[in-house]
Amino acid sequence: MLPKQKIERPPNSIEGQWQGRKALFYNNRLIVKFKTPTEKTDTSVADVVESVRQAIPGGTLLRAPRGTGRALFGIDPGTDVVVLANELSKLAGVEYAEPDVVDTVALVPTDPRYVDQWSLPKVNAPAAWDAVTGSATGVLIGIVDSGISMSAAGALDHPDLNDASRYILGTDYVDGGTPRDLHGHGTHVAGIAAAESNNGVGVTGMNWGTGVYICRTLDATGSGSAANFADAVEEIVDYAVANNMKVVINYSGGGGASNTKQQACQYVNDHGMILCAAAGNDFAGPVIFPAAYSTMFDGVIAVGSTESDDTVSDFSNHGPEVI
Amino acid sequence: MATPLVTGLAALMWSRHPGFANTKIRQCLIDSALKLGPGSFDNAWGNGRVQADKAVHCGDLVFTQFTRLTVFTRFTRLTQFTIFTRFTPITRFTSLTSFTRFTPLTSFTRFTPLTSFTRFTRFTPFTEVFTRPPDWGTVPEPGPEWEAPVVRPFLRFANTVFEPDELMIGRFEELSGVASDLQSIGIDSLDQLAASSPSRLSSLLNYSAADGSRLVDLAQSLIRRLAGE
Repeated sequence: MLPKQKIERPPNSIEGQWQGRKALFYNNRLIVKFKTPTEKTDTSVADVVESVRQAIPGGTLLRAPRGTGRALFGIDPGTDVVVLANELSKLAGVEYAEPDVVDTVALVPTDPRYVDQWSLPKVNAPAAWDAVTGSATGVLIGIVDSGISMSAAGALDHPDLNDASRYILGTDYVDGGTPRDLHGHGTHVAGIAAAESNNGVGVTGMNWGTGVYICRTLDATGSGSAANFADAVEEIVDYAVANNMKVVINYSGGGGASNTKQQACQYVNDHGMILCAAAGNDFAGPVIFPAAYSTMFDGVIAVGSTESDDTVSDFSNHGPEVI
Repeated sequence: MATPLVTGLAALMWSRHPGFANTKIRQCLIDSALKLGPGSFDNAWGNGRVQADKAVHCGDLVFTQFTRLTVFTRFTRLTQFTIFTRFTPITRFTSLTSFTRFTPLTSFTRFTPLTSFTRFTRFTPFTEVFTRPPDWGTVPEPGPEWEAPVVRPFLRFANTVFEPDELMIGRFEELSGVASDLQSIGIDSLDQLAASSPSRLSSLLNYSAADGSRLVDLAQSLIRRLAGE
């Protein structure tokens, strides 16, 4: 049995209630989704955004609305985020405002070679590879996590994850720039899903040929924002749609419920894509979000975990959402 | 850390079946999972543990058992039988019999079995089988009227129909000709035939001497047959 780990609360976060559940959210950020105008109006988007910004104490615009109409504001850390969100939600032109929920990585095993690869034979992967080892065209793996192992100079430096032609480096929503992994979780996840194989190095991934699109939303502590998650998901889906690909996005993290994460799931589902999300490793707790949205969207798959002896991992969460 | 395993697997499944909707991929993951908990689903086990080998093959079009391919046709003694089968490059035949020849890389293959109209072949993914080409249009489905008529030769003489029997084996054509000839000179009854000498018949029919003696032989056979001997 793995030791139960206490994941540290990231800085600038507070505990509170959101959508009737206990959740952790950032005390200095707020998500606002703007309505799509139903008729032509003289008011520009910038004016609407500015009017909302002025309604926020110490408000700054951190990220302008994307195509889906969602913007991110910085707020005075002393503000009651929930009260402010409820007030802003009443404004004309605002669909909803909500705290930026903090997601954390699904429990990180302390042993770096924890998987030790029992899992691939266990799921009969070798027989599957006889039939298919992963197409390089038409299919894409998206990984929204803590990034991928890179040198400070920005070069892929993991021996199993360094085929530059396979990896598409997306946005680093935490620090900007390329998604360099400062935690280790994202590199680990990429290895399991897609490590180069038949190369005599390190681990073997499940899929050897499909391209991998990496976005970083989880920081060095393993925590990340719901807004960043949603933006990363939309970025990857948009890329796949533009390139006529099917994408399977991996998110081995989660936390409290949020409209923003739900709408990201909706975005994946509406475009016919798949999001595989961890059910969570809180030792039989309720399934975390976004995995729990698997009951709403066929495109969301909640994944629990089992041990090598076919018992449910004692750290795996339980619920009707688990595939 | 099971999530990326499922992610990689789902991408494998989509590599094999690019046309699948996300709902089909999800359903295949569920259907192919090894059920480990009690019942088909429970909150702890979900739908079971994924099985990559089964999942990637989920949705393959496979005839898992030997497929019996039967040809229906209306035929006569002169009919040649033709079976049309469409094959794709992925078709794999695991059993071939001597009277069939396949060229799996062409879109249509044609073979003409002369002795049997039923054959057994195992078809693997993506095979489409037709017993007639799709462009035949509205040919009625096989039914009673499609069953093979039995060709039954017969001999008619003296208002009696005689079916081939042991006596006539090998001589049926000749006997038919003799009966026809006899009728052409007005001999159409057993009595008339008995009253006619072979030499007279021979002369009446302009048979040669050799043919005349053969005629006598045949006529006697015919008489014996007609007399029920």
